[in-house]
Amino acid sequence: MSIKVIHGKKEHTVDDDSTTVEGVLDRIGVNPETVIVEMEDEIVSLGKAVVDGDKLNLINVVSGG
Amino acid sequence: MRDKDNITERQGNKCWKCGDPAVIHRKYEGKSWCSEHFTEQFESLVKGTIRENDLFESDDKVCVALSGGMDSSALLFFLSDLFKDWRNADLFALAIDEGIEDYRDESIEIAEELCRDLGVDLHIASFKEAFGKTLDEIMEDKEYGCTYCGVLRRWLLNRKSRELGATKLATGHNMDDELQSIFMNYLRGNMNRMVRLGAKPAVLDNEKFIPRVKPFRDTPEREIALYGRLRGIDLHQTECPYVDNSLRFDVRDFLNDMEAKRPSTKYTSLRAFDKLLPALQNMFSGDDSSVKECDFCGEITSGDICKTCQLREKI
Repeated sequence: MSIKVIHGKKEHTVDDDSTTVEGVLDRIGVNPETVIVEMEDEIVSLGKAVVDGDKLNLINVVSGG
Repeated sequence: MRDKDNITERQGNKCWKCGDPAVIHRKYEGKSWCSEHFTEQFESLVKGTIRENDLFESDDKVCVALSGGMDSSALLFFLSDLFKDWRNADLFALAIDEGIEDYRDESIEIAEELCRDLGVDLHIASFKEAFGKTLDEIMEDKEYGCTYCGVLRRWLLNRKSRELGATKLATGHNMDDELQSIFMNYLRGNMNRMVRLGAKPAVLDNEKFIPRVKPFRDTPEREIALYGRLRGIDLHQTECPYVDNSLRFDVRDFLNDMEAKRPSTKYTSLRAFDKLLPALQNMFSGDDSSVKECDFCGEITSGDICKTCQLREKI
């Protein structure tokens, strides 16, 4: 299964058997406390199931000054 | 029901109230929320903070310190809606333009657009006008921009909001900011500075000091961003080029790691601090008679010369 993740200027492709958004974040080392996740322009919860070909957009929420 | 639906429902992907797709699963309370019910509950929680701490009076003139970032933008959005029903109260926004190229100009634009949309008056005060230099100019021969920026910004927010007639200065400080300050003060041994924390810090009863209030103080940063996003507020994501908060960032990352591993860490830590705060206030709150006026600018200070005027000497 292949999931594409856009995180700011970074782009990841996750090839494993993660079944949820939270699993994908864990796979790329992103703390779920620090992002909001969109899938097809809709905000989704961390428990949302992912399937092959899904594309996630991560929006940083922690302040940086 | 297909297997996929079974999995998502088991993992909390449906709103516990209506069954619609969830936008958030709060591990600390074990519930998922759809956009409509999350927004409703978020606003109810913030109203609870306002009520429990008596943050506003019905005839207050409230100045929102607006940076154009998500926290202060969401706060202005929320308060502009709340204050529609408060006939005698007034609300306006104040943005500080420190003069940081490719950073502050973008967030000021967002602030201007938001205020236009909400019909809220926006005032802009600049470092250049108040101190004769932009932060970029100040930092040409210095390090640690946050030291200068933080002190000068607080001074300008207080003076300008007072000149504009504000009775309260509302800031977008959130639960994460508050916890970071608690842990940083503890790590540095600055117990006396902790009395400045809380939704309505008991700092000074002086006509020159505009009381600060923090309606989002009990709300996690991530949920404010989610609320703002759901309300259609633009998110300013550029990082300040002078940011140098290494201890704050270490504490921030520690708390986020702990929350991810042990949900509810942030809530329980904040509640524990709230139980300590009255004791700290008893121990460290100073006598207001020790407050003086700065020899140079006339603003309140504990010494003869305020911190802002001390820094002005160096810029």
